[in-house]
Amino acid sequence: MKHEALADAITMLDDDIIAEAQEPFRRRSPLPIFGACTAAAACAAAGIVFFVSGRTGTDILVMGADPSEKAVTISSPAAAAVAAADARAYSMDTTDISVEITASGTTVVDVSGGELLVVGADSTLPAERPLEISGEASLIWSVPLWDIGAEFELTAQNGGSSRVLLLSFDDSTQEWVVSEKY
Amino acid sequence: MDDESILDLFWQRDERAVSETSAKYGRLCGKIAFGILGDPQDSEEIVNTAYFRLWNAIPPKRPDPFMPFLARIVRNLALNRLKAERTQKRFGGEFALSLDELDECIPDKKGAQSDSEHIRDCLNSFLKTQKREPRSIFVMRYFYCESIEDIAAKTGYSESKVKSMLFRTRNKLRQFLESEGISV
Repeated sequence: MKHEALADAITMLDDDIIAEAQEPFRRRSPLPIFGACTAAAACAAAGIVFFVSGRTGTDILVMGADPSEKAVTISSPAAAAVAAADARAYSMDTTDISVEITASGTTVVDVSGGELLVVGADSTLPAERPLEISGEASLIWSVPLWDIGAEFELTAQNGGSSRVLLLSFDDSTQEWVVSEKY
Repeated sequence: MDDESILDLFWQRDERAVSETSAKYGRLCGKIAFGILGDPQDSEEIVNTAYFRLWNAIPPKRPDPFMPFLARIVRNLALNRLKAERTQKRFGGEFALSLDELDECIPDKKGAQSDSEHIRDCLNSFLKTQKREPRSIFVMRYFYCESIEDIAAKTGYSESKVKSMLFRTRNKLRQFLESEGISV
């Protein structure tokens, strides 16, 4: 039977091919231009506020805290599952992280994994990436956080300088955190 | 905890090995099992059985890399469960959809049938000739049984782009398998 032969063959694929598919990769795409979105809409939509003071002409709000000063904790189903250490617990959900950006000039934003959504006044739509921002933009970074070994980056490029926020699992606190990557 | 430390726990016969494995890979295992079986309770049972198999297999084994070893156990257990039950109503979910898509890749031919090992070798050879993105998306879909929507969310591609990449890869695979004389 085709089904069984194929299924068995796929189960026996090489380890490196299986492992590789779980590692984040950055999609390659053309550069679309998006208009500015209102900051208030993002706060209302996600209930999370995120602020990073900009040293490169880009300010980012993250859950009311500045990741360049202190890592920002992201609550997620993964953290709850880890805390419970329950062998039966797993989730297939993605976690939405609200990111609010104020750009002085033009900033190009991209993420290494997950999906970026642009929050508008009336709707939230998937963003093409990388995303070009002039002025203010309210975004949601929707990330699958079921693998605590994974790391994700949000990069904001403004002129010749860039900022990178790292989303990773903190073993000591058993929480996902966003921090400034230097 | 890194994989080496988890493996150390297994070798020390420390039961934390199971909880640490669950904490790190429980979701992934659950997604694979659920993708094949489409039933949360069956999936949970399969994942727990996989941990038991791990416990019995390590030691003497020390799989490197660890994750594909575990994922393969989960997939095998789920497939065996599916084969054992083999009723149409239970043969559903993402796995059935993904298999239907793949079915077109293997041509029907008269004569000797190709076994799974031969098909696997051809699949490995074929995938290694593909670029990283389409290869990984193919594996996400057909090994991990992830939905198109989940793959799009994970990779940043649109759903239509993911479908398009899978379609092209399947067509190339069919041509490759035909050139290798694969038939089922």
